[in-house]
Amino acid sequence: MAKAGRFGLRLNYSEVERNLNVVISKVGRGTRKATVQACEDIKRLSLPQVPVETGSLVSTFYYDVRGSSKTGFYAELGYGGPKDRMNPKGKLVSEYMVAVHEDLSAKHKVGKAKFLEDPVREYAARFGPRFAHVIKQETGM
Amino acid sequence: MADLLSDLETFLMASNAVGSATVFRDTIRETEGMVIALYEYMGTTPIPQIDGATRAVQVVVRDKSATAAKEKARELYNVLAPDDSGIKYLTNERWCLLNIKQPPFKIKVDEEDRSYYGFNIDITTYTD
Repeated sequence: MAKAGRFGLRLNYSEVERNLNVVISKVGRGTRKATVQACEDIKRLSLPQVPVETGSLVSTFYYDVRGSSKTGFYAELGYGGPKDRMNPKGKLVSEYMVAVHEDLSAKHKVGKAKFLEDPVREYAARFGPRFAHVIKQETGM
Repeated sequence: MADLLSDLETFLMASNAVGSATVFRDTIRETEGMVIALYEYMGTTPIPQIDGATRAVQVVVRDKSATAAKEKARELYNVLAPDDSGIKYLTNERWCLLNIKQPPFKIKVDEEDRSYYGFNIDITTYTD
């Protein structure tokens, strides 16, 4: 017949909490890093696809990563926006960039329409594994 | 089996939204009057589980009158807007899930002062 036994477990909650907070902060930092990385990767895919006439449109690529670990991170990326500028022909990039991006009938010596949408779609399939890789690097887990 | 743009044209014709406009697929040519152009562009996301893909399509209307082009684009947009189920049959065979990316917007005005209005759609359907 088994005898009654005693089992003791001592939990140091403050240490568990501290370790969890370290991991959460690393995941946050990794998420931001992965978001910036995604913007850079999309930029690398997009720039060679931009039609070039005066070179103004291609020079206005921008991205802005906002948010925090608490709110989540998000990125805005595109052409024009805060980098909008006048081209040598006296037109603002924002005046013609939609037409250049959307006009599928236009013929370009360099680049093509959908120079941002196509790279974003192409990258979307890769984002999950890339994100996981950065988080793994950041947390060591 | 017809391809996606051909099925889309058939669907729009049957809806009477096309009217007297000339429809082109994957190109737009010089012709009198209102023109509707249907393009399929890159951006395909394969879905092997259903032997299908999400395919990117652009619908464009060109006309001398900006208002007429805009109104026709809006009419086509309304015809393609999915109902509650989200599933549409373009033909008896062609099922699809439509995700219209935005309401019609002005794409450009060309050298002959013709206005182009259009919108983009993600169409999940089988491959062809």
